[in-house]
Amino acid sequence: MNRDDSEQLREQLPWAVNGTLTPAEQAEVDAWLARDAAATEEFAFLQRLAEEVKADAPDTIVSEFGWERLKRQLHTPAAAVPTTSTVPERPFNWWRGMGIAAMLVVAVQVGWVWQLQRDNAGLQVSADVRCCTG
Amino acid sequence: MDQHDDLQLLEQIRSGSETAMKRFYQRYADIIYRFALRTLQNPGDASEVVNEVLLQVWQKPDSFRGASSVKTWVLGITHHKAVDVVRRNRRHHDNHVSDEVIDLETDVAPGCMLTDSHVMADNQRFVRHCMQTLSEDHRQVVHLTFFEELSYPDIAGLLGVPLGTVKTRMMHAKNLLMNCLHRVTRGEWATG
Repeated sequence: MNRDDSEQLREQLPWAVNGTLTPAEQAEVDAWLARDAAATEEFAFLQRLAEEVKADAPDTIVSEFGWERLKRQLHTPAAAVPTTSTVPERPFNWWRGMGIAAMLVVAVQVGWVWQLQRDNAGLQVSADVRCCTG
Repeated sequence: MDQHDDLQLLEQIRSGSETAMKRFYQRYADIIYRFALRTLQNPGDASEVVNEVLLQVWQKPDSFRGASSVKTWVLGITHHKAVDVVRRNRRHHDNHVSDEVIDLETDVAPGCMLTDSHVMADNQRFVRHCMQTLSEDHRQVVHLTFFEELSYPDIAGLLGVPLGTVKTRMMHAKNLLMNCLHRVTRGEWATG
């Protein structure tokens, strides 16, 4: 067995622990475990981990109160049902958008006026140069 | 209760039976809650996810196509709702969220440090602590494998990721848990 085969089998170990491998996969893993001490140790670690994860279940939340709460929402139109978001989405602020648009218009106008003044000054200078050089 | 009973319940829910919906709630609320809580680590958010998932079952029972078990289908909806919550919460914290972040595939362990004053009393609490240091993706795969005892093809289906991704996430999670448990138990959880 080469290293790649071992890696493939190692990847399947967690599902050998929970018993959901296909019979063929399980047979391959069993054969590997029988001849590899490190694999057996890893399998034991995963078994112990699985037990602890299962033991760490939160208390039940099923209750008459929980059902009543859900039942109230069953006939509420979808849009009215609150979402899980603990953070309200910020709605698009139209006033803010209009303010930004107005600032852009003013900026374009200022630029245009400035360009116009610069062009006029340039014309004046060339007229002066022509005048002086005759 | 088996898959056949689940299918009967869904059929009755389709026809608008509140009694069937109540039985569905009694059967699945804890399963949904535990998976959502393991993903989100916030009881309030997890509890809201339970309601959202069950409302979706009530409103769209036809979205179950029979390609998986009802339990896998319900856990798939739970996954999507929980990811929505993670994204919203991360956006709130001004963190840019992309799929790379959600599909975190890194071995960089988040802080796995316990000072003496934090050292916990028993194995279960050590495991809980170390689980909390994992990313959502890693916690989900560990929970679905060891708590819900799902096969890796089922997990891949419900998370909407390739089989290889499930195995890789599990390997990373296992290594991180091994390291964390080894550290916090001072070697008591050591393995080869």
